Amino acid sequence: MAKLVQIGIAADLLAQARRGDEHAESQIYAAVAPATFGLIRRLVGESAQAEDIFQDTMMTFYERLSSYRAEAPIGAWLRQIAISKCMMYLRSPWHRARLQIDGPAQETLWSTELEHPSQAPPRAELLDVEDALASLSPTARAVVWLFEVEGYSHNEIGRAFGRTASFSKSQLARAHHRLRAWFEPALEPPACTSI
Amino acid sequence: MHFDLEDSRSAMEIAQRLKALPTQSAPPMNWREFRRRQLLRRSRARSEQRRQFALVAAVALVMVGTFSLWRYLLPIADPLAGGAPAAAAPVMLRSVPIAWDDAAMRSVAAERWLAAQPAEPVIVRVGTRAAVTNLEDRIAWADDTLSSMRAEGGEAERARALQYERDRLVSSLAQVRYAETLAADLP
Repeated sequence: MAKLVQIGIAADLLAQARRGDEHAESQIYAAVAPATFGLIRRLVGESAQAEDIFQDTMMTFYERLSSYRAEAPIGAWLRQIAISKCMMYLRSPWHRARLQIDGPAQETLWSTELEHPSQAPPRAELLDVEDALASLSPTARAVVWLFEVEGYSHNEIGRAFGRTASFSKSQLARAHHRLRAWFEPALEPPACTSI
Repeated sequence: MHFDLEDSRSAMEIAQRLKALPTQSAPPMNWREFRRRQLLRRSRARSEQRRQFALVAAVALVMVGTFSLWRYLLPIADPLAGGAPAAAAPVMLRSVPIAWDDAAMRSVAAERWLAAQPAEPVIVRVGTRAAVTNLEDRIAWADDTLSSMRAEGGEAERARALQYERDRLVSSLAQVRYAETLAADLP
């Protein structure tokens, strides 16, 4: 399955969509919507919020389509819009307040677990990468995904969050630490038994 | 700088696992539903824009009314109070090239309309309220002066100028009150 940034749209189809041809717009929607929603879900996690951001992203995409200059692939352009919307959500005071209301869970729980990995519940049965990713805080998850999968640099991630590159590096390091805690039982070779 | 080969290998494995994850998800709505929501949002945005435009127009109208009122009030105060009506009256008459009868008829119509308005608007705005009060005071003052002039048999030309200014004050008051009613209709 292609990533959003790899998706290309034929120039004539784009031209028709820019002129307001609804059929062309629907074809573009069919081409980009799954990858766009996939990316947003990876970054935001929550389904309901991801749906809202997806709708907002696609509306912005069509509103601005006439200003698209084809300097970058359309997928990369749309990805930029989607990531910007997700970052706005992740940085919003509302989102931060919700994390606080929800308790120490998302943003802080995993860091305390990291300090005492032995106290973490056994994860042998939860080797699913999806679960591992979902166990990260929203911020750490977005940083990991942008860096490892979307190929963003630390500088770009830091800028997207309105922070520095160091913020991105530390988030990534801690997220890796946590993910290793999930994966290590599977990565380690079976222990030798003494004869 | 410490470089841990094991950490690096582990990080690469994590990256590989993440990259192997599906990057696409079935979108939460199909094109038709998306299009419906898009049109709904556009129409909401348009109505919001119209509402804001009406608000700006009403505010502008009130400001213009207040400003024109202010301009009318300043020149009339000096000649009448300063005792030089003969010099001032022709200037004021020249500035408004409409027939006396027309002005009087409009004034009567404006007064009739004003009488139909409630004494206090539903929403009292401080800016316009001050202007309305000021105008009403000026009209009352003009009425008093006209009455005394008639009783004492004052100068006809001066009385005519004063009557003319009174009509203009009534017209200004009607404009401000009309702007008030427009603004009161807005949410």
